[in-house]
Amino acid sequence: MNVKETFSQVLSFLDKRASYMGFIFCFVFALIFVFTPLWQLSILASFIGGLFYKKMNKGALIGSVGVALAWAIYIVIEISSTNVSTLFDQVGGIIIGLTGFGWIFILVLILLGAIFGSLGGSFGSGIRILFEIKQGKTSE
Amino acid sequence: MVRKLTKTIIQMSVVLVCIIALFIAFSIPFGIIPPLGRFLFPGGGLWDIPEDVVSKDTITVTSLSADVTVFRDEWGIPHIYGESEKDILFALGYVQAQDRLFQMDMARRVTRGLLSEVIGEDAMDVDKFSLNKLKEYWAQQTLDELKASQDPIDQIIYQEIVAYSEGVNYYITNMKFLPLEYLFLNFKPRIWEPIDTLSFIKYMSEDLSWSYEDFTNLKIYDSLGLDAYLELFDLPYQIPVTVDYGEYNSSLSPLAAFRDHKEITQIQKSIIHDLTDLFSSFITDIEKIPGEKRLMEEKEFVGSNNWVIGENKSESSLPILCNDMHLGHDLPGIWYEAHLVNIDPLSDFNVYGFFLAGVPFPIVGHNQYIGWGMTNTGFDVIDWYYYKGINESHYWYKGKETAYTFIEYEVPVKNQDSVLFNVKNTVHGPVMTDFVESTSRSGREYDVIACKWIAHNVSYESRAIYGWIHAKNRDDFDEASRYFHTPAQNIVYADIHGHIGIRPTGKVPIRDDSNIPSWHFGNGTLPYNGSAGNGEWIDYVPFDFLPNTENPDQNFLVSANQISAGPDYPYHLQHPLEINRGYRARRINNLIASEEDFTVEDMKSIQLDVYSLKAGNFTPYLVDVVNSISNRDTIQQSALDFLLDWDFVMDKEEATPTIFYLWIEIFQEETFNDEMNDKDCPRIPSHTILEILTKTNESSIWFDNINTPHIELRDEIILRSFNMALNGLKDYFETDDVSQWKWGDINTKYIPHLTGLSALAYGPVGVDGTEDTVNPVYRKDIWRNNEVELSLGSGGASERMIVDFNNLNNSLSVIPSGERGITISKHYVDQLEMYLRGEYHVQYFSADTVEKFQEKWIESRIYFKAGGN
Repeated sequence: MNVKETFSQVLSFLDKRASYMGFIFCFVFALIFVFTPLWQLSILASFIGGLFYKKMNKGALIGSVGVALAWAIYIVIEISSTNVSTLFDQVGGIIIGLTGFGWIFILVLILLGAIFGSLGGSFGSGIRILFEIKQGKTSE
Repeated sequence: MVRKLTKTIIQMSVVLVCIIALFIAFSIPFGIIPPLGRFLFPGGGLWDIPEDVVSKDTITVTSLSADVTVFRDEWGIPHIYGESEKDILFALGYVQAQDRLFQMDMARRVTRGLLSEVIGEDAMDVDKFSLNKLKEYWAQQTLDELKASQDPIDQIIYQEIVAYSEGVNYYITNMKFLPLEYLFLNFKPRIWEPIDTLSFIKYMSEDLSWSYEDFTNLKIYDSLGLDAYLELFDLPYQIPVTVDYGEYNSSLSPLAAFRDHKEITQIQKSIIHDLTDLFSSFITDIEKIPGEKRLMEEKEFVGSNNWVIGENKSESSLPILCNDMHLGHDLPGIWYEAHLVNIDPLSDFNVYGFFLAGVPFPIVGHNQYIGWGMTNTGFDVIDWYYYKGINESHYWYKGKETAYTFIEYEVPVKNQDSVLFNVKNTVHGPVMTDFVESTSRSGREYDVIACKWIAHNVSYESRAIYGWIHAKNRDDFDEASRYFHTPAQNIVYADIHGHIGIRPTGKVPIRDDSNIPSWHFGNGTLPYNGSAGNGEWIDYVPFDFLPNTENPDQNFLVSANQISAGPDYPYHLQHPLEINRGYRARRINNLIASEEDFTVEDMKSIQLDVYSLKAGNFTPYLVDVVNSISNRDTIQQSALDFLLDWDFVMDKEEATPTIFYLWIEIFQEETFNDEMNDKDCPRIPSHTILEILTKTNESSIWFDNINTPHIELRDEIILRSFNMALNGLKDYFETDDVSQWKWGDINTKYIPHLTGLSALAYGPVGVDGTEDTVNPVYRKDIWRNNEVELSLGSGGASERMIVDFNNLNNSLSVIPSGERGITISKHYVDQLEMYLRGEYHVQYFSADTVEKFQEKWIESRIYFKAGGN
């Protein structure tokens, strides 16, 4: 069995569980990656999640929800256990000149997580589609 | 299939472009804003900054000789217990870095000309100017001499500074996060060196004694002439710091010595005009150098109070010593509190004090025997010299072509090669004119300006403080004080034996004024002709001849930057423009002289006193004039009612202080501005001069407005100023209701962060007091350009300390910031909020062993374990 066949079988396996496995993979990886200083890895997490889907918009949706949820959980835990919300107030003040709007910054962060996730997820799905086209299959 | 392939590839290309764009956008800095990805997103940056130190930490350090225990109390103040002073200071270095690393880092960079290394070439002028002041050079010379000294105490001090540096560096090399400021500015702290610590003395010296007042003095003298100068810039109502040298009275002015000098002749006048032109363009250009203008403005903030009461004034019959040093406020504050205890049975070292973050010895504080506090003396310790330059390498000095000497520096610059910079020196000191536009000097006879400053010497202030913290009595203290050269301070003293004293201390030059021109006041009060060899420093006032008072009959001593000694004192010490006009000193003297049996609570109320002596002295004249108006309008009547009811307390909740304060500002301007503007005088006479004119000469020529045809008298100016004040306040507050004109709405305090970032600042908040109350707030005038403008006060008491020698554990203190510079720490502004409420904290000084430090006082602890290889 060559590599292409193995990959096809893997994809076939994933297809059957795509609806939830893609999200779980994306979410778990995104949650692991928030403990590294490499924010770029959030795109990798959603890319992995996107591989489960044959439509780019579905990959984008799962990627965005997975990364945003992982970031939101991390942020909620940090805010509940530290004074980081004050820090965001201060940083908001420095960047936009107004204090007391740290929570907006935090919402924007989660939104950005969702955007990274959607881009990574759709790119992952796109790779999947390209691969399948090359294999002569289509999702339709 | 092909269509789908094409569509997918196009979609993926778009996504890829977006990903790349976002990667780039979040990976590059925008101005001061660092790369946002690394800075904001989970996993690093902001998310790594801890709120406070961990509650319990154990650190093993090979260089320690024995274990050290650090307890932080509820204000985050460290109480450090070790078996040797070196170990204790190692721990102090560690905790100071933990709390104030960015502040320490920036202060040494400013002092040593190292800002460009982290900010880039934008800071090059600041670095060059700083190096040109020779602070780095003389700090290095001091370090070299200290290191090479064979004196055993010098060696101990050097070793302790090294141990302290090792503590700072242990923190820097092992820290797991960078404070917010480093993330923003995108650099990492460099290793701490002993010279960084020594440079702080030069930094404080610059803050408190570097001055351009010689130029201002000459311009005032030149513009007004001798008689007007002596009348308008005299120093009435001075109560000397020391009480053993006679008293000033109405016939004896502190400026009396200047009366012997002749009026300026026409020929001399043209020479002086040329010089003042040179000096004016020089100062104008110097003001453009970032930081230098702030230094000039901060001279307004430099004040302080200290006093001590002896056995007959104290309820306990033992002294109480108080000190609040007035400086510009910043976050984090300049002072760092710490309690150091040597628990070796053979040692009785137990010190509580206020440290500069970066220095291992407390500037003010107490041990279990003695205590000391400081106020600035205003000693005249910088002289300016002008020369005939020849070329880039030579100038005229005593009739000879003389070569400049040069000190070469390599200034590191961020993201580019280091820049070579030469400090050019005359025989007196560094040439400063290279920093001003050459065109402004071309064609002048004199075109080079240099200065000689007391800090241009090797000095051992650290040895003085080392002596103080180990002193057991007055003799020990005095012996140590001999080493305190700069910045000169009124050092108040008390001990558990009941002795009190005050000693204006510092190295003061004696000049050779034998060849100065007849119009020159001498004593370094005006710039000297350096080419002619005028005003050479030939000696220093011997320490034993500095003014000094011990255990006076009056049983108390007070300093608040007033004149150091009475008319019987033989040496010239202070620059006349740098002597405080004396309202604080008068008020404190009045309060203490009139009562007995003072307690610590009484001392607190004096430190927090906002009674305005000035208002008490002026308001009756204002009330008389307003009372004499036959048809007062509603606002005038309302304002008069408030004034009649007033107790002269500058209370932020009251409207009367607002009326008085604006009126006195306008009254001063309306009295003097016409003549001062006409004569191009750079400074307006003080409120004390206005007070003496108001009280003694209602038809003084200064009340007359020279721009009107008729002759105005005092009361006309008082009334005009009053009406202008009411109109100004009505416009500012947009209401006729005088009760709404609350002092706290216009008299505010704003504490900026060191970086100037407003989001990290505190305030503005309304506060009591003025610049002349014992509890002061320093800020610019509120009457500007003929209207009221909110002026944010950013100076005042930088610490408050009360030391009770009856029970040292009853001693109190507070700082207007917090112990930690970490902006989200609960100790960032916790003490500032107490300070604004007029509260103090205890010092837990009785905890002179680890066991005595009660568990309930401990907020966090660090155990430094010795060894561990």
